[in-house]
Amino acid sequence: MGNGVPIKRLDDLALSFNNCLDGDMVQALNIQEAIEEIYPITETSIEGNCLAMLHVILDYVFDGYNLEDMMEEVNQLFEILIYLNDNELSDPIISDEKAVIATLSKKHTDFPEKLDDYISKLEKGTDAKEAELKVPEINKPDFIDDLDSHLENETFHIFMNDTLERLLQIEELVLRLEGNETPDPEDLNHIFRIFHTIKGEAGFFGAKELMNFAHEIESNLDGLRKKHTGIDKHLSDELFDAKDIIETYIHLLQDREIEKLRNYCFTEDCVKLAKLNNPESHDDTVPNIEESETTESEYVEETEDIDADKTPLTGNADKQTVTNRATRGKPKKDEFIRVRASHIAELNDRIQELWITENQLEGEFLRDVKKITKEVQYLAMKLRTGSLRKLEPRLQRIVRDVGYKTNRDVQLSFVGEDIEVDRNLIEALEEPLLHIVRNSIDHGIEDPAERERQGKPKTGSITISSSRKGSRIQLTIKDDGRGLQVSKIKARALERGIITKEIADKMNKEEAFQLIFEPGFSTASQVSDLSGRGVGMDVVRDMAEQNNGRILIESEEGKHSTIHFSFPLNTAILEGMVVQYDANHFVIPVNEVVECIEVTSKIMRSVKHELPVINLRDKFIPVLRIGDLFGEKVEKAMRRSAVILNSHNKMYALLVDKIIQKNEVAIKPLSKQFRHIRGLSSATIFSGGKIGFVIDTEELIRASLTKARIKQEEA
Amino acid sequence: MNEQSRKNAIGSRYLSFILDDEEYCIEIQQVREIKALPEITPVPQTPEYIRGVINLRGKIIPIVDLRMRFGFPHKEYNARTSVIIVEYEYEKDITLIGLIVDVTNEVLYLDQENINSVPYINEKINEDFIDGMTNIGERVIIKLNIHSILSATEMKALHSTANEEA
Repeated sequence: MGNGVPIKRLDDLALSFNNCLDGDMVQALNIQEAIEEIYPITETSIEGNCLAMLHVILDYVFDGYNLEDMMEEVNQLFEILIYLNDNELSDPIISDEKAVIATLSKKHTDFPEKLDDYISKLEKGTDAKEAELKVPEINKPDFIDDLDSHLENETFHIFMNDTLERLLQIEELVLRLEGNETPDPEDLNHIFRIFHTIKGEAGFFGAKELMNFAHEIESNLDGLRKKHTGIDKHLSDELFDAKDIIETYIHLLQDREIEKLRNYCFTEDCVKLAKLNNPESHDDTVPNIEESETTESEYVEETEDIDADKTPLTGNADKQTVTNRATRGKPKKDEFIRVRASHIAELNDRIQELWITENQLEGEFLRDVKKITKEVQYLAMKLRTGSLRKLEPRLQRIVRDVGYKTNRDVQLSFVGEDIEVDRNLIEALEEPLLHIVRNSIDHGIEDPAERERQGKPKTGSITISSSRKGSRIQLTIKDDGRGLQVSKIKARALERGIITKEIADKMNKEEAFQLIFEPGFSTASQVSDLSGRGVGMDVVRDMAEQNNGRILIESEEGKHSTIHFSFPLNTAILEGMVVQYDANHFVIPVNEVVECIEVTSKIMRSVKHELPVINLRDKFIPVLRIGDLFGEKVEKAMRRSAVILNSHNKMYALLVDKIIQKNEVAIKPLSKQFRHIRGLSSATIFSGGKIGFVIDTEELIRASLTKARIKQEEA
Repeated sequence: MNEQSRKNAIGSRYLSFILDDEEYCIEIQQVREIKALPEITPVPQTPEYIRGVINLRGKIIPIVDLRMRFGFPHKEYNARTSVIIVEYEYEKDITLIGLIVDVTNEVLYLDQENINSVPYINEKINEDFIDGMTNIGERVIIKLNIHSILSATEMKALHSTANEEA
C-alpha cells in the first residue's frame, strides 16, 4: 500500500478540472483520456472507483450538467485519491467513497448504473476476461444432424421451454418500453440479458445459427441500453420480429421439422415468411388451411423440391405442411404454462393450512381424505421447487469457454440425488455458481503439464453435489486443483489493507479462508459481463446470507478446494419430533433423533466448569439447552425429558419439558429479519395455528460448545 | 373534487393511534389491516421490542412493540391493544410487519402544509423516525416515518447488540 496513482498525475488532473470549471471543455476530454490511462495502474478498487466516478462526472458535464454542482464531490474524490497515495485502506476512507456515491446518486438517479457500466468497460480494456469470447470453430457435428439426440435430453427441452418463456417476457417488456416517455432502464437491460442468455444456452447445445442471431441482437442492444433512451417503433418492430423468428425456430425444433430447420433463415427478409410458417400467426396472408386437399405422399414430394431449392420456404408448400402436421398426429408434448409465482405461493399456503388442520381430525372416515390431501400437499410443494440441474447448461458453457481460453481441460459433473430446491434459491444460486466454477478453472485447476507432473489426471474435475440433510440442503462444489494457499491469501489481504500483520500472524487456516469473502479482496471490482454488476466472493456470501444459508470453505494445498453451502429447506414437509419447552413448541428433524428419554436427577451429572452431561446406560452425553438460544444463563426449570440426538456421529441430549409426538410438519422459511438467528432453521404452523420453530441442531451444538468454552476460560 | 385535489386527498390520509398518551399517525397506504392482539410466539436473539411472531392466516410475521421501540416502558397488553399490520419494502421484497400500539384511533385527512418539523423528543426516538407534526384543534399528532423505523440498518445494528447481551 502506498503507491497507487502518482501524486504528480493527481496534481495534473486536479489542475485540469479547475480549467474545466473555467469553461475549457477540451480539458474535460483530456481528463477522461488520462483516467483511462491511469486506471490500469491503480492498486485498489477504491482508487479505480474514484477515477471512474470522475470520468462519469465529466460525462454528465458533456451531457449539459454544470460541473460546479458536482465540484464538491470532485474535491472529495481527489482527497480520497491523495490520501490513498500515502496511507493504507481504512474504514473511514471506504465510507467516504460510499458517501460520494450516495450524494452523486441523489443528484443523478442513473449515476450508479453509469458508474457500473463505465467500470465494466474499463475492466474489459485492462483485463482480458472471457467477457466477449470469440466462439471457436470446433469440429462439432452439425446441430441439426444431432437434433434427435438433443431431443432425448431433458435439459434441451427445458432450454426450449425457458427460451419460449423468455421470449414472451420480451414482448411484455417491449410493449412497456414502446413510446414510454419515462422508460425504466432496467427493462432494456432485461431484454439485453434475455438475448444474452439465449445466446449462451444456444451455444451450449451447438445451435450456432441461433447463437449468432442472438449475439447480433445482443450487440445492438448493448450500445442502446447505455444511452438510456427508450425505444422507438422501429426498434420495437425489430425486437418483435426477432422474438418471432426465434420463437418459430424453437417450435420447429420441438416438432423436429428437420428440413425446415436446415433452410431456416434468420435474416429479416424471412420474417414475413416466418409468420406464414407459424400456424399461430394471425397474419391475414396465411393461406386458408381447410382448403388443402393434398395427401401425405404429395407432401413428401414437395419437400424434396424445397431441399433442392435451398431458398426460404414459400407459401404453397406451407399449406400442405400445416395440414399434414395437424393430421399426422404428433405425440402430445408435456406443455409448460406460465403462472404468477404469487398465485402458487398462495395456493401452497392454503393447502398447507388444509393439511395441518386435517391432521388434527380423527376418524377412519377421514383416512382416505387425509391421504389425498397429503398427496395434494406434495404436488403443491413441487410447484414451488425445481431441480438444480437446470443450471447445468450454463455451467457447462462456462467450463468450455474458460477452459478453452486458459488451455485447460476440465470436466464438470453433477453427483448425488437430484433434489428439489425452491425456485428462488436456484435463481439466486445461478450467478454465484457460475462465478465459483469460473474461478476454479481460472485459478484452481492447473495446466495439463503441471497436473501430469503432480501425478494428477490431465483433465481437471469439478464436482457439484447436492443432498438433503435433516432440515437443510447441502450443496458442495469441489475442484481437484491446486487448492487455496494460506500464505498467498494472507499476503493479498495484507496488501489490500483488509487485515494487519498482527492479525494475519494469529490466523489459522480456516480464518484465512474467510478472508476471501471480504469485499475488496479480489482484483479491482470484478464485473460480470452480464449485468455489469460486480460478482465476487463477497457477493456469493451475501447471496448465501440472504437465503439464510451458510458457506464453509475447505481446502488442501495441492489437492483440492471445496465450497460447502448449506441452506434451510424452504419448501418441504419435514418429519420431526415435536417437543415442548416452556410455552413454545419446537421441531427436531427425525433423522437426527436417536431416542427419547425421561430425565431424572439421578442421571444428570455436572462436572465443574464443563458442560453438564447425562449418564445414558453408562455413556456420558453432553447436554444441550434450548435456553441457550434465548441467551438464558441459567435453566429456568427442571426439564423432565430429553431427546437424544446424533450429529456427525456424536451424541447429545436436548432437554425439553415434554415430548409431544412425531409428526410431519410443513416448513415455512423464517422472515428475512430473522436471518441472523443461530439455532433455528425454519418455522412451521401447527394445527390450531400455533407457531413452532425447527431446531438447527448443528448450530445449537456450536452455540453450547462455545458457551462452555467461554465458561472454562472465565473459570 | 378535481383530479389534483383528489390525488392530494388520497395521498394525505393517515391512521392515527396512541402510544403512551401521545397521538401518532402513519400513512394509510402502508396499512394492510388492524387486528386485536393475537398469540405471540417469542423469537430468540432479537431485541426486546421485537416481541416475536404471529400467525396471520398462514403467514408468519414479526411483531414490534412500538412503545418499547421508542423507549417507553412496557405496558401490559389489554383488550384495547391493537396490532397494525404494515407493508414495507425490505431488500426489494414487500414484507409485512405488525406494530403493537396502545389503541388505534381514526383515519385522518391531513394537509401536507400543516406538517411542521418537530423538536427533539427523546434520545430513543431517532429524528429519522419522525416526518413531522401537526395540529387538529387541541390535538397534537406526530407523523411517523415507518420506513426508517423498520429499516434494515436499524434491525442489523440492534441485532448485534442483542447478541452481545445474550
